[in-house]
Amino acid sequence: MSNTVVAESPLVRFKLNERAAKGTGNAGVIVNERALLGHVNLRGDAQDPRFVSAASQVLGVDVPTAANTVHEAQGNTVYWLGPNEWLIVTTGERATALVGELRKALAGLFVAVTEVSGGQTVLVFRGRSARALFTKECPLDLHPRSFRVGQCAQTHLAKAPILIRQLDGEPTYEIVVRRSFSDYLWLWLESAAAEYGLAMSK
Amino acid sequence: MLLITCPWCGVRSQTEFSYGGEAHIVRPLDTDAMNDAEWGDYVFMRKNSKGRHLEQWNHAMGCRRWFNAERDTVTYRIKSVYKVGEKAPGAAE
Repeated sequence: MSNTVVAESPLVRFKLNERAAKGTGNAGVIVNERALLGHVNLRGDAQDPRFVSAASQVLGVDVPTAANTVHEAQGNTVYWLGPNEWLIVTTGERATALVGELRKALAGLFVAVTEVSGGQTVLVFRGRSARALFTKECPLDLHPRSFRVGQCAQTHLAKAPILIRQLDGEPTYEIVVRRSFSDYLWLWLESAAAEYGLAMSK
Repeated sequence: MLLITCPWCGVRSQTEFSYGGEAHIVRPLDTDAMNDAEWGDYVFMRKNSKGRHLEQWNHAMGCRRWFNAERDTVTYRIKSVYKVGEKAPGAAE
């Protein structure tokens, strides 16, 4: 028995990096996985200024208290998930230490800090047909009048629950998907994006 | 397809929500003193109103919070939504 544990993306069997090597050609949808990042779920009372300031201090970025907004700084992305729940995405190396620091800073408050890094992965979609792909089976209104950079939303893509945000005006979208849904979602994507041309990038 | 307004997330598609039945049903505290008819009434019996109905929804694929809605069971029109713990629109007190 080997004691070595190797972290693997839930999409490892699709060999995305090998496919990325083929280039993107004229594909309308270009996907890259931001694999093996650190994910931390944070729960606490947004009405409690002690919680908000202590958490913001550790993260180096203000914890967003407005619904469906996302703040990003110091290598941490903090997504609003609910009135008392956030997701922090950081580097894979940083996650465990961040959990310790948050627990220490928030000691004595009514909070939960849970590392969920292995439980989900991040996909980035760009290309001229990225929005068209999402409008197929994501019920969220992605029109610029109602969904813009700086906002995030939990919704679903096909039957998979996702957390989505827009990264730029192209538009480029980033989604966070659970490990248990990633296989299903990727297979859906292969067929749904076929008409636009689907390519991977690093 | 209904469009339902989540008190936190705003207008979202019905496919993001799960239904939680009639709202404001309070669990009895003194269950030992209840007979089967009373318990059955609490567990099973509902108003089944025609028209205005106060009901629970969960934004299951969104922020995952429960909230209440005031819906007309004839027209399916949702007149208002309010958070758990808030009084129903037009409630006494």
